Amino acid sequence: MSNFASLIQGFGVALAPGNIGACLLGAILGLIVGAMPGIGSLAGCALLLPLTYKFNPTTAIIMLGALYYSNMYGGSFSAILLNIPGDSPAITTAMDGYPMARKGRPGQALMAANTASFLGGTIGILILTITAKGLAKIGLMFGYAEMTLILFIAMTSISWLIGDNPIKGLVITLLGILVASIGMDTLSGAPRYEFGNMYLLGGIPFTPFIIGCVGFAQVIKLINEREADEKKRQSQDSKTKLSIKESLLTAHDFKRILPPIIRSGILATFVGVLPGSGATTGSMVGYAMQKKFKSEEPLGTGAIEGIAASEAANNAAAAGAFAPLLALGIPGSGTGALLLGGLMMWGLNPGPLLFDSNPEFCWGLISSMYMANIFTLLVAILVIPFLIKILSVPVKYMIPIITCVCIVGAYSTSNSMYGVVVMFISGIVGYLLDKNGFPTAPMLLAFVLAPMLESNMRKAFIASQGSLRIFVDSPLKLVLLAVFLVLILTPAVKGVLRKVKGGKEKTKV
Amino acid sequence: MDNKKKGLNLRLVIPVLTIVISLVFIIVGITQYGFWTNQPTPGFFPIIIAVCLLASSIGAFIQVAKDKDSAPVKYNFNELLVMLGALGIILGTLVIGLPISCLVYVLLWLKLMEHAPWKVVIIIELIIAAIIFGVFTAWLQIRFPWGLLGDVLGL
Repeated sequence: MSNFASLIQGFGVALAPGNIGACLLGAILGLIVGAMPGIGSLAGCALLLPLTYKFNPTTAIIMLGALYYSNMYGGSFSAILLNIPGDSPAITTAMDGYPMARKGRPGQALMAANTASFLGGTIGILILTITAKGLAKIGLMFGYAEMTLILFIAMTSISWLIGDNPIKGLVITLLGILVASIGMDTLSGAPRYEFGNMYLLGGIPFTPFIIGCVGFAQVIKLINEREADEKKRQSQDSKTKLSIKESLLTAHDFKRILPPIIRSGILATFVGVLPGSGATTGSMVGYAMQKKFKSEEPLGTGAIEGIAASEAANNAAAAGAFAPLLALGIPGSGTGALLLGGLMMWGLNPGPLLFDSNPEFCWGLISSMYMANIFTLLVAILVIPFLIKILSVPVKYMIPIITCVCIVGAYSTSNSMYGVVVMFISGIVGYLLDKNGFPTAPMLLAFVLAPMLESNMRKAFIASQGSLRIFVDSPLKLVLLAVFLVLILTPAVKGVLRKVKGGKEKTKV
Repeated sequence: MDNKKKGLNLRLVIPVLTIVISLVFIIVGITQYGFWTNQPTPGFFPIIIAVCLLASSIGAFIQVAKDKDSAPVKYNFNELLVMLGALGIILGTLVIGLPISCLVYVLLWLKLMEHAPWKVVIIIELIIAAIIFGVFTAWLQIRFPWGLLGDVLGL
């Protein structure tokens, strides 16, 4: 019950006029960015990060949280109306959303997505409210060695889960850690790997690096989507008109969407808690689970149950991802890493102590998520009549706008052209890595977590006077080590088994 | 641009670069920051990570070199234009400042690349001006550089 008492106190923080305004602004911007095909929540948050510098940390993270959260709503708009998912978690929404729109029910498809997002998100936030502080209490039992192992697990699992090539994920994760070690030594403050350059002395600045890696790299990739985007737009019925009244769900529709929302909402919240999973995995798991249950129409043909399962799942997973972020300081996804980086930039140290040292911040953020959920639902319903117009902005016109936002945003965070140069270089590097199958999200996660990992690891070694026994001297550490080893060895074992199987089949032939 | 036709597999370049980076971190780390003196020194953590990066990069290199089935990565000239556009803004900043460079870039991009109608160009220019002057300059109080033009005009 104390969690709910703290939550009520949190509402005292969240309901301050400035925070309400920031939450509403975040909800609107998140919806717009989420609806724009090809930008995605990670790039969207990165591009809008400089805007939060004006605010205090609580207001800033409330705005970013609302932005991230409403992004999940926005992603479904273009998925349903244009068959272009605004973000990867909306891929499964497009599978049924677009066919349902083609069947002449685009308004109901949008309303179902909004309702599912709201209810799924509410389930996720409720579970977050109940579990976050408990998770932080468990976190308090962790020493340096346990935290080192947990951070290794977090970093490894995201590189293992993103992309189908673990070794590339590992290379990119380690590269992210090395980039983060440029500048000052985390413990002694001595200069390190600055190569005589005074700019590098301060390290690689976080915001320009993130804006470049995801924002500018995304613009470079967007140029290839111009023609496909044009063709898709030409094939759409631009005369479609939507109204809120015609979009309302019937009682029968509501009866159909409620069970998948509850199932996916609960399951995906826990999926979101796992490091490396995030909203995309959540929506896929939610949609896959719906396949095991009966739907009135087959999934993939415009079943409203499919939209509900997918949308409830991605919002619930987005809420669930906040639990390890706040309680343990471990982000579940690339966007989570960005939020964590933002928290650190504002002088907050997410982790087990945050709930005790900054309760007004933690509970203010959690209560603002309830608020953001309601705001986003209202805005999402109100924009339905204007959606066709909003979505008709072609990708080709977004390219120069986003390029300018990247440059201006990178400058504003460092007040020097150094930030712009870092953004430009990291953008090209991010683009080349992505093009060659090296996913950039693990690098961002590693970049943010590296100082914490180094600090914990070195302190563990100082405490043990260099002995490795400190990582195996308790059952908890052994379990964590086993999880880490399983994560590392699974792909290798799978590869060997695949080869053995292939060899056997060849000998049979 | 087909990599095979050029005789260079660009996929191999990334592992080679990460091998070089890891070697630089190992050598500089050992020679300048040390590894262990009664307790871990500043080089301790980066050296361990660089050794792991070296091993995994070699693994990635072998994997890519053995992989003959994957389609070659194709690069589009337009992608280079996006990069050149951003570079143009950076260089233009030295002469006409950041805000005007952005506005000139948008004008050139929309007219030359996209052949956009003037109505669209004006709307997007207004959006960019609102972002730069309204959000960043007026609200966030950012002082953008005005380059040589600023020196001449005394900005």
